[in-house]
Amino acid sequence: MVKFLALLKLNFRAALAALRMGGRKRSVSGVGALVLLAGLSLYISGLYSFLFASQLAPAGALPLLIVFMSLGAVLLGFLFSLFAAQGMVFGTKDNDLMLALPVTPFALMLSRTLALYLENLISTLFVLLPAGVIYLWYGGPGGIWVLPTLLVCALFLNFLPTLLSLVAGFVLAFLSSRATHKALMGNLFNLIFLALLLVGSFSLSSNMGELGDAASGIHDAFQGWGLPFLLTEGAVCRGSVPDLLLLCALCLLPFLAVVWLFARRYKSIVTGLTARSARSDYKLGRLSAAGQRRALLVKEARRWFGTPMYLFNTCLGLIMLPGAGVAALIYRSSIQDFLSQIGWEFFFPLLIVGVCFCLSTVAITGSSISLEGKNLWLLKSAPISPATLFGAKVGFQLLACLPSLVVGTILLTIAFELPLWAGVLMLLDGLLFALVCAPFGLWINLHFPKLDAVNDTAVVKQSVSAFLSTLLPMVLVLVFFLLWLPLMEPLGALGLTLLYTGVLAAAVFLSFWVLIRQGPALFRQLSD
Amino acid sequence: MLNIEHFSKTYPGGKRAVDDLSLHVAPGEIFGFIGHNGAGKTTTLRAVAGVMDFSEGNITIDGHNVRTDALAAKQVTAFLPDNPDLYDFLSGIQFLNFIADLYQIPGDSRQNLIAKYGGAFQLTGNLGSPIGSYSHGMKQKLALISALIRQPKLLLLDEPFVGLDPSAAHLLKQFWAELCAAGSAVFFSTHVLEVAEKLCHRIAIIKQGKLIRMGRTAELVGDSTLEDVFLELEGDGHG
Repeated sequence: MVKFLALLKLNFRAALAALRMGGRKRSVSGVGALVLLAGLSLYISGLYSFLFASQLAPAGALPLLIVFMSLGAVLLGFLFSLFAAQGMVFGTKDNDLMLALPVTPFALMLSRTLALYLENLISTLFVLLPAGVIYLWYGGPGGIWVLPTLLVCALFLNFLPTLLSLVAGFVLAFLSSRATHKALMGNLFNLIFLALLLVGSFSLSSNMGELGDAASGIHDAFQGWGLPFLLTEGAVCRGSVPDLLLLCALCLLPFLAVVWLFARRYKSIVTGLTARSARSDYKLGRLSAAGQRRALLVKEARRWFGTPMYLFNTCLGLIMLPGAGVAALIYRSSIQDFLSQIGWEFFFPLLIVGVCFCLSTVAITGSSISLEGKNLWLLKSAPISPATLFGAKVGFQLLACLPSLVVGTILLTIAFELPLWAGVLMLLDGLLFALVCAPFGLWINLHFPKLDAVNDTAVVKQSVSAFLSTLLPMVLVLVFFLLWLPLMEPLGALGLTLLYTGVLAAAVFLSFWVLIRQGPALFRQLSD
Repeated sequence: MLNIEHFSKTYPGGKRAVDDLSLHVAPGEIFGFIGHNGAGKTTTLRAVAGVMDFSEGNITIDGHNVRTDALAAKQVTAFLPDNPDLYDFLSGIQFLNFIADLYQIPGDSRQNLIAKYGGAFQLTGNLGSPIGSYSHGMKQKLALISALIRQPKLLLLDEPFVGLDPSAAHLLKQFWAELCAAGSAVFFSTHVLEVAEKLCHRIAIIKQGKLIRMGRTAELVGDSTLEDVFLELEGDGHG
C-alpha cells in the first residue's frame, strides 16, 4: 500500500507538473490554462444544458437533462483523455525504471490510470455541476441534495471515461505492438474514432429539436447500456440511495477489474510498444541534397505525420473545415430555402467566424518547440539561424492548413451560392487567421516550453503552451462572433467582414513582430 | 582552432559552473578535458558548441566568435553531447541526410562520406530502419557518423566512448587521427583516463569550475600515470 501511494503521488505530480513548470509567471499561467479548460467545459455544459432544458422542461421530462449531461460528461471526458491514455499509461518514458521497481504491474498501472482519472475529473465536474444548477433553475425535483449527490455521482461516473480511454489506449497499444508501421496504425485508429465522433455530433444536433416529444422513447433507449446514466438520474432527481450505491459499484468495479486484467499483460504491452521493427539490409543509394529550409520543413512534416498524438490533437479543424463544406453541399437545398427568406449576407460573417474557429484548433506550432525536447541540442548546435528555424515551423503549419482551407471555402462558397468576392474574402480571412495562429503559437511555445516531458501527451495535450496556443486564438474568434449581431446592421456584411480582415491583418503583423523581436532571444535561453 | 578566453558561466541561483577558464586548442591537436562530475566540462563544451548562452568571456572557433558570428562558428564545428538524443521518428539515412542538408554538404560527397563512415562502423545495413529501433550504441555510432560526415574543423565531444564497443572506439581514434592530419582539432571530455593519456596531445584538468592544470600529456604525467596525477590534484585542495 505504501508503494502504491508513493507511485500515485509520483503520477499525480507528473500530471500536475505538465501544467506547472516552475517560476511564478509560469505557475500562474498553468492555473490560467486550467481555468480556461474549466471555462471551456462550463461553456459547453451551459450551452447544451440550456438547450436541452428548454426542450425537456415543457414536456415534464427535465430529469432527462441529468441523463443527457452525464452521458455528455462521459463522452467529453473520453474525448479529452483518449490520446492521453496512450501516453500516460502505456507510452511513458520511465517504463524501464518503473518496471524494474519491486511493485506489482497492477499497482503501477492503477497509479498511472488514476492520474488519468484526475485529469478527467476537471472536465467531468465542470460539465455536470453547471447542468445541475440549470436543472434546479428550471425547477427540477430533488431540492438541496441535487448538487451534493451530483458531485458524488461525478466522482464515480468519472471512472467510465477513464475506463473507456484505457480500453481504447490498450487496443491501440496492442495493435501498434503488432504493426510494422506504428504511426500509420495509430493514425488510422484515430481517424476512425474522429469520423465516428463527427457523425455522432452531427446526428445529435439534427435530432435535438425533437427531444421533448421523444422523451419517453429516449428513456427506454437508455435501458441496459445507459444504466449508469439512469441511475444517476434516480440518485440525483429522486434521491434514491440504492441507485447511488448501484452506480458507485457499476462504475468502480468494472474499472478495477479491467485495470487488473490489463495489468496481467502490462509488461508485454509496454515491451511491445518500445520494440520497433528493424531491418539490416539497407543499401545506400543516390542521395539528393536540399536547402536548410526544405530539410527543416520535411523534418517538421515527418514529426507531425509520425506522431499520432501530435497529428490528431492538431488536425481536428483540418478535418472539420472540408467536412462542414461537404455537409453544407449535402444540405444545399435546405440551406438555400432558409437563406431565401433572410439573405446570405446576414450569415456570411458567421461563416468566416466558423472557418476561423476550425483553424484555431490547428495549433501545430504551439507544441513544436516542446517536442524538440532532448533533441534541441541538434538545432542549437547547427548552423541555422532562429529565423530559418521559425520560418520552417510556421511555414509547415501554414502548408498543413492551406489544402483544408481552400477546399473548405470552395465547398462552402458553392453550397451557400456566395458571390465570388465573398468566397475570396472568406479565403483571405481564413488565410490571415492561419497567419496569426502559426507565429503566435510558436511565440507562446517559446515562452512556455516543456522540454523535459515524460511523454508526448504531456506536451501536446497537457502543456500550458498547447492550451494557450489553442484557446487564445479562440478568444479572437469569440470576439468576432460577439461583434456579429451588434455590427451587422450598421456595417453590413461587406463592412463587417472587411473589419474582420483589418483586425486579422493587424494581428498578423503583431504576431510576426513579437516572434521576430522576442523569438531569437527566447530560443537562445532554451536549455534541453 | 579553438580559443577560450576568460570564460565564466553562472547558473540561475548563483552556482558558478565555470570560473575564468582560458585555453587554446591548436589545429591538428587532440585535446582532453578531464575533471570530476559537475566540474564544468559539459558546461564548457556546450558553450563552445553554441548550445548554451553565456555572458562572460570570449570563445572563437577558427576565428569566428561563437556569440557574434555564431552560424560561421557552427558551420565548422561538430558537437556531440554525452547522451545524444536523435529524432526517433526518422530513419538513420533520413537523419544523416537532414544533417547533411543543414551543413550544406553536396549530394555526391555526402553519399561517399556516409558510405565510408557507415561502412566502417558497420551501420550501413541499419540506416533504413527508424532510429527508435536502434540500441544505445547504434545511436552513438549514428551520431558519430553525423559528426564525421561534416568534416569539421573542430570536433567537440562530451564523453564520446560511453556506449561504444571496443572496435568502434578503436575506429573513432583512427578517424580522429585522420581529421587532425588534415588540420582539424578534437576537443573532448572523458572520465576514461587511460584513453586520454594515450590519445591526447594536451590535457586540461578542471576542478569546481577552475582550470587547475594544463599542458602536454607527457609533461603533465611525467613518470607517473594520468590517474595518479588526477587523483593527487583532486585530493590536494586545488581550486
